[in-house]
Formats: sequence, structure tokens, C-alpha cells
Amino acid sequence: MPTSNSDSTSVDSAALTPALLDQLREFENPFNDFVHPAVLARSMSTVHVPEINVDVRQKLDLAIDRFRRAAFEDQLVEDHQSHRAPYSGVILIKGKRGAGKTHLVNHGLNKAMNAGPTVVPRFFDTNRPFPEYLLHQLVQVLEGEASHCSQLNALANWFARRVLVDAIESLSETDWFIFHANSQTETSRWARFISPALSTRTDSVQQHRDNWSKRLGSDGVIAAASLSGFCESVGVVPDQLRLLARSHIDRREQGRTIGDRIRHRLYAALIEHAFAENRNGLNRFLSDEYTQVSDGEIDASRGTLVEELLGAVVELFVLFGRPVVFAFDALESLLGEPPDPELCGAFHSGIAELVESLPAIPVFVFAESGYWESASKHFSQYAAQRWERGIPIRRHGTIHSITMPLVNAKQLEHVVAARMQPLLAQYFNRALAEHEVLLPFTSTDVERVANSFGESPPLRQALQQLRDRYEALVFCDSVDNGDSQPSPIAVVEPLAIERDIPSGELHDLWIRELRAAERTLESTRLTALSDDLHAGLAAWLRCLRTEGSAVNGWRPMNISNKSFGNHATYGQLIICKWSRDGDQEQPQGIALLLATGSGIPNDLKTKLAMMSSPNRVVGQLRILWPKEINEAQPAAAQLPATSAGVWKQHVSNVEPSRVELASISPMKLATWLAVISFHRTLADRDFGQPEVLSHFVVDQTRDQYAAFVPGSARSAEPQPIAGELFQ
Amino acid sequence: MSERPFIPASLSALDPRVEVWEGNRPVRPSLAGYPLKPGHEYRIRVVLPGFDSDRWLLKCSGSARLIDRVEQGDSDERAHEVRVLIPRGPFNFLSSLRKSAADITLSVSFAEGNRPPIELRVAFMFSPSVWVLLGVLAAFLVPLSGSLHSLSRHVTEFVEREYGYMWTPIWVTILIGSAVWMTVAMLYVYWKKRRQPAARARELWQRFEKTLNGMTTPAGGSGID
Repeated sequence: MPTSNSDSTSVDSAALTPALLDQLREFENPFNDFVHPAVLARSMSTVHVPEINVDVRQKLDLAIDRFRRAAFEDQLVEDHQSHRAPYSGVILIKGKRGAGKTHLVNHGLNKAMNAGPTVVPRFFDTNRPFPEYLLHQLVQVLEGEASHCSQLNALANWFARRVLVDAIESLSETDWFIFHANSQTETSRWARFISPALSTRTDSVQQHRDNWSKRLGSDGVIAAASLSGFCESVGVVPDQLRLLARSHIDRREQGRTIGDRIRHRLYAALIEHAFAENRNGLNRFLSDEYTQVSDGEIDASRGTLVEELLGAVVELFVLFGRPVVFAFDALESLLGEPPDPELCGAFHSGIAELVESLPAIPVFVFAESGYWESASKHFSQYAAQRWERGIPIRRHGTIHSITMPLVNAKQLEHVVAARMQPLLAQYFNRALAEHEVLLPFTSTDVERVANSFGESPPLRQALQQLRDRYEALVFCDSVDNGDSQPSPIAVVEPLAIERDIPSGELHDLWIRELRAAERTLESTRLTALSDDLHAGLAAWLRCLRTEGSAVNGWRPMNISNKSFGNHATYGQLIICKWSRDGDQEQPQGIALLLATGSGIPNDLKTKLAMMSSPNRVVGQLRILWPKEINEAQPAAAQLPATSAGVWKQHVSNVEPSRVELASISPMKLATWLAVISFHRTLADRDFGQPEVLSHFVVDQTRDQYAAFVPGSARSAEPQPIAGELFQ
Repeated sequence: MSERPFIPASLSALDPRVEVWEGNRPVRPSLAGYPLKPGHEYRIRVVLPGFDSDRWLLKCSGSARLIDRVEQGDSDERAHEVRVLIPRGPFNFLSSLRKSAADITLSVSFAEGNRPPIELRVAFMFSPSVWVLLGVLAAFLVPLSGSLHSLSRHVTEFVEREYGYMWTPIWVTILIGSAVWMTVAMLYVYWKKRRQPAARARELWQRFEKTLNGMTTPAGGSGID
């Protein structure tokens, strides 16, 4: 049957039969899928086409490979002392909007089995030192992973095995014999009792040492297995191995500087993590306990502690052969649209300082060409030189910038073939012939899309055009007219469709992000989400300001994040300046009590100490405690015993009206996380109407407003809340 | 961030390795330490991974009373050695019945002044010769032969009077002497091969366990919630 593409010489017109068309009409247009919210990134693998942007991906792979080659297994030479970590570097990847940058971040960087953690920050905060910001992002990524694929678990397992190899090999022959004999399980002990050879079989016992070392140190399947499996297979009590590893670390890591002490504690925590069934210890160390490390003389500054911990973690991942990659994507959502001069300067200088002060970190910045040109006006020359140092890549020289190529016809054919394959396979029920893979398109169709503007379009735009062409070919009745001329390729104005998002779609997107945020809250400790929660709260308060709502006449006027004290996790708050009926602005600090269990007293102490200090940054502080409590009683009365003691002790030093403790439902925190990802997704789709967006967000979260207005929470000193909240 | 080696000290093979040799034969340790025999000379060879021998020195900083002589041995480019001589009995044998285990303490010091010296303890167990044992037993039994003979005579008279059997006194003497020898030998074997090594093994395990549990710095997380 003739179709609209019947004039094409390259297609077998007989292949596009009415039956095939009928079959295709049963399915959704496979080219509808041209933009994804971040929460669906994992499912994008179904539309992943490796041939697209393959050069860029290979170069980035090679850049990561430079750090991977510094792995410990490749450095087993005699004099370890002379080795230095590879220096950090930045690569800027520029491309048009829709060129596939986000897809590359989600799929291109993290495909290899031995890939390390990829940190893709969702916001940027100028009020925090850059290393602190990165450390929190990294910890959040590490803690948010499911246990079966957790990088932290893999790192702990590898490190514990490596330490054990070294510890076992370091034992003298006598010590090894003693350790081997006494660390056996009960069954093995009875076997030895029945055959009581104290001085015989020494050769076989020494052979066990080689065997253990080999099994612990070998890569592949055995190394991936848990240590408990190893202990079971060799009949050793796990606790004895754990003690051996711990004592080895204690003996070897005896440096007295802050960096040495942090490493010592980190290594010990990794050993405990590898052996323990309850794995919260390492997480607690990464978010809280490292701040208590000192060299015994003076307390280290917040910046020193953070830099040393970040350096220790990234270096260990490099030795593991899985370097940590920091990838900054969707700069519009990080640096503002149009680019905020302050954010741009801080971001650019922050990365420059990072690559200069910390080794072993590859940084990739994905930027839209036009946006980058605008943002670069705010960059300093000093920082630019650090950026230009780039990353040396094998056989490509040193690269500091890559431009993403536009898609060509050949690559588009791969895209069409990949998306049509499941549909056509169902119809033909056999392997597709070469001339069938593009159906219902022809090569001419694809070429026309690839040259629709006289040059290749960005990938997303090409997908939009393929989508429209598919609609015309499959769903329009007129295409059955065999005498018709081929319909022209619909020229889609760049991003015209994306600008006008229907409210229904906006609502669906919001619900999706909210669910994703709820899942994140369920799977990640709140302290690891500290940065995101503070940034989300600030973003939400800004929505309130933009939207113009008021509660009892109170309106948020100025919102900023602030760091204080020496604790990098607990020492942050939001300063919100409220104004009532045009009166003078009243600043209020809002802090989140995010610690749980034994961390609560320390968290509370950090916040209350700030208020009793002469250098306090706010006059009034509202501490929000994400906890379901009995509303009839003040929140402070429901604190655990130790924390209640801290509260009483510190509040006595502060004027009581200056500090309020209020509870908030933990799941309500999901709103703040959702606000960030919601903004980020819409920034990617160029939804450029902040007032509408703010109105929408406030509309969805109206019930939370009351908890923030001065004097209106379930607080330690309950205060009446006016019945009618919103004007 | 402060400068430090990229590879943590915990993953760097730095500890000295100790081997004990008797001639060209390596001595394997037991749970009670290296079994060293009287009248033999041993070489204790120490290798420090990653360090040539001209960058460090080995010396013996303490030895047990049971050891006759400790002196500096040969060195090659990777290792240093000390030689120890274990004296023969019988006084040494007798003292070994009471205490048969001890340590030799070696000290590794570095030519570069910024490294602290490393102390090594080589545990050993004194294992006396069976021939010396037999000789000592004989030395004890010969003076008692007169008493043994009169005991045999009493036994043969008693058996003849009570049961009517005629036993030759010399055979009875040999029987009683053998019984005494066997009892003493079994006690000796139990003492030397089981009791003393077991006590020594327990002592070494307790010492090792103390090292294992001697952690003073808490982990970054106790793993206990």
C-alpha cells in the first residue's frame, strides 16, 4: 500500500502495511519520551542509545580512568611512600540545550560495573564553604544508595579485606600460628582437641596464611562477597578478624595531626562497618562524629575537619579504583536564570579552590553554551586559570573543555531503530531486516530531521520532530493517500512546547517529585539530607515571598542560609526576615533538629550554644524537630532524657523567649526536598514563570505555612494561633 | 589539607619479618614458640619490606638465661641476622624442667632519625634432648640400685610365701626399674610436650589478645546503636 513515504527509493513500501500501521496505532508514540524528570532517570535506560555522544562519553571515561589507574592494586610496589594522589581537574562540557547532557550524566558516567559514586548536586549554596557543600552532597549520595549496591559497603568491604591481608602478612610466624589456632570456630577447636598437635602441621598452618591472604586480596567474585561468608568458609570467628584489623590500624595509624586522627577514625569505622550487621556507625561518623576529632591540644576548625574528611574519603575511593566524580548539571537551577553574579562567582571560585586544595577529584561541569557565556562574565581570572588546568587524558592530551556535537542522520537512525525495535519486534516476531528497522520512517525522513534548520538540531529537538513525524505517519488518516506528496517535516520552534506546561502536568510532576522525596526520606538519614532540607526550606520560603501570601499579616521578606559554629552538619540555619503589615523586618532563625538517637544532644547543644554565644547570628531561633509527638505537651518536655538535660542547661543561659522548640511531621520535610527537584526539572524544561510556579508550590503546601510564622507552633512555650491563617 | 602519603600506613607492608634458621633448614614455630634444642646454633633473620639493610640496624636488646650466647650474624642487602647458641645440659636441662620458655628481644633501628625503632619479640620453647633425659634418669637410678635390689627380694619372698611362686629377683628388679622408668618418662613427656607448651601457648595467646584488645582510640562509629 502506498504511504506518504512511498516516493522514497530507500524503503520497501510493502513493509509498511495497513496491518503494521494498525498494530503501531495500538501503542503510544515511542518518541513522546524526549525529556525526563530526575526521578525517572533510572528508567531512561530503556531509551539509551550508546551511539549518541559516544566521543564525549569516551573522553569522560578516559578522564575518570586517569583516577581509576591510581588504584591500590596497580601500586603494589615496594616503596609506597613515594606515591601521590593524582591532582584534581575540571572538564567543562558545553552543548546546546537538549543535546543530551543530563542523559550523559545519568547514563554515560555511571555505566561501568566498577564506577564510583557520581555526585550530581541539586542546588548550590554560597553560604557554605565549597568543600563542606561537596562533602555533604557526597555523604548524601553514599547514604542514599540501597545496601545491595552501596558504594560505602563496597568500599568498607574492600578496605577491610586489604587491611586484613596486610595484618595477616605482618604477623610473625608464631603470632599467626597462635591467632589461627585461637580464632577458629567451636567446631574447629573440638577437631583440634581430638587431634592435639601442638607442634605438628605447622607447614599446613603457614599455608593457610597464604591461602587467606590470597582469598582476601583477590578481586572479582570472592572480593565482592561479604566478609561473613569468608569467615564461614575458613571457619574463623568474625570477631577475631575484626579485632585483628582494628589492632592493625591502631598500630599503624599513629599520626597525631588532625588529618591523621580523622583517617584513623574513618578506617576504624570502615572496619566496623564491614563486619557489623548494624551499619549506622560509619554513617554517624561521616555526618557527625568526625567533628569531635581533635589532636589533643586544640580544637580543629570546621574547615580543616571537613577538608580532611573529604580528602580521606575521596582518596580511599581512588585507591579502591572507583573515583568519586562530581558532575554539575542544569546550571540554571544551581546558579539562577539569568545567572546570579554572586552564585556564579562563588561556584567558579569554589571549584577552582577545590581542585587546587584537594587531590583525586574529577569535576565535570555540563553547561548550555549560551548560559555559560552569560555566566562567565562573573568569573574571576584567577579561578579561570585553575579551570584550564583540565585533566590529562590518555592519547588525547590535557582536556579542559569539550563541546557536545550535534546529532547527525546516522545517529538519529540508531535512535529510531532503538525506539521502534520493541514495537516492530512484536509485529514481525522475528529478527528485523535492515530495511525494516526504521519503519515507519524512511532514511529520507531521518535525514530531513537531521537537516531541518540547515544544520543538525540538538537531540531533543530532533526527537520532537520525529515524534511529530510519527504522529503524521501513523495516526493521521490522510497518510493513507497514496498519491500525496511526502508531508514536510514539521519544524518545531525550539522548546516552544516546553514553555507552556499545562497545570495538570505540573500537578503530576509535583506529585511525582513528592513521592520521590518521601522515598528518599524513608531510605536516608535526615542528617545526610541536612543540606538539601535547608536549601529546600529556603527555596520554599522564597516561593512564599514571591507568591506574596501572609499569615496573620506576617510575610517572609528576606531568606538566607547561614553557617555557624564548628559543626559542619548541625551548624546551619535559615534566617528569615518577617514583616507584619509593612512594619520593620523581624529576623528569625529556623534550624532543623535532624539528629536521631545519641546524636540529638550534640545537635541541640550546637544550636543552643549559638544562641548563648555573644556572636549569635539571630535574636530569635525556632528549632524544628521532625518528630511525631503528643501535641498536648510542649515539644521540649518530650525530648529524650539527655537532650532534655541539654535543653534545660542551655535555655537557662538564654532568654527563654528567644528559643522555641517545635515539632514538625517528618513526612512534611518531603515538601522541601520536592521543591528543589521540582524547580530543577522545570529549569531543564525552561519553564520561565517564577510567579506561577511559586503560586503553584504555595497552593500545594498551604497547610505548612502556619508552622513558620513567628509565635505559631507546637512549641515549648505554646502560643495561640489565629483561627484564620491566610488572608 | 596536610601532606601525607597517598597510601595509608594500614595498607603498606612495613612490619619486619622474622625467620629462624638452623643451618639451611627453616625452623617452624609451634603454638608455644620456636622449638630450640640444646647444643644447637640458630640464626634469626630479619627482613624489613621496602628497606635495604643499609638503612637499618638489628641488635639483640635482651635474651633469656637459658640462652648461652647471642651475637651479630651475617647480613645481606635485604636482611640482618643474629646467631643464638643453646647450651647443653644437664644444669640447663634441670632448669628447663621448671621453666622452658622465654623470649629474645630484638630491636630494629633506622639510620634515618625520623623513624621510631621497632621492637620484636621472638618467642621460643626449650626442647631438651631425649638422650639427655635417659642419661639423667640413669644417673638418678644407679645410686638407688641397692635399694631396688632389696625391694625385689622382699617382693619375691612375699610372692613365694603367699602364693607359692618362685620368681627370680633379677627379673623383678628389671620389672620394677622399667615401671619406674616408664612412669617417669610418661610424666616427662606429659610435662614437656603437653603441660609446659600448653601453658606457654596460653601465655602467648593472652599476650597476643592483649595486643588485639589494646585499642585506645574509639572507632569512627562503634557499630552499636
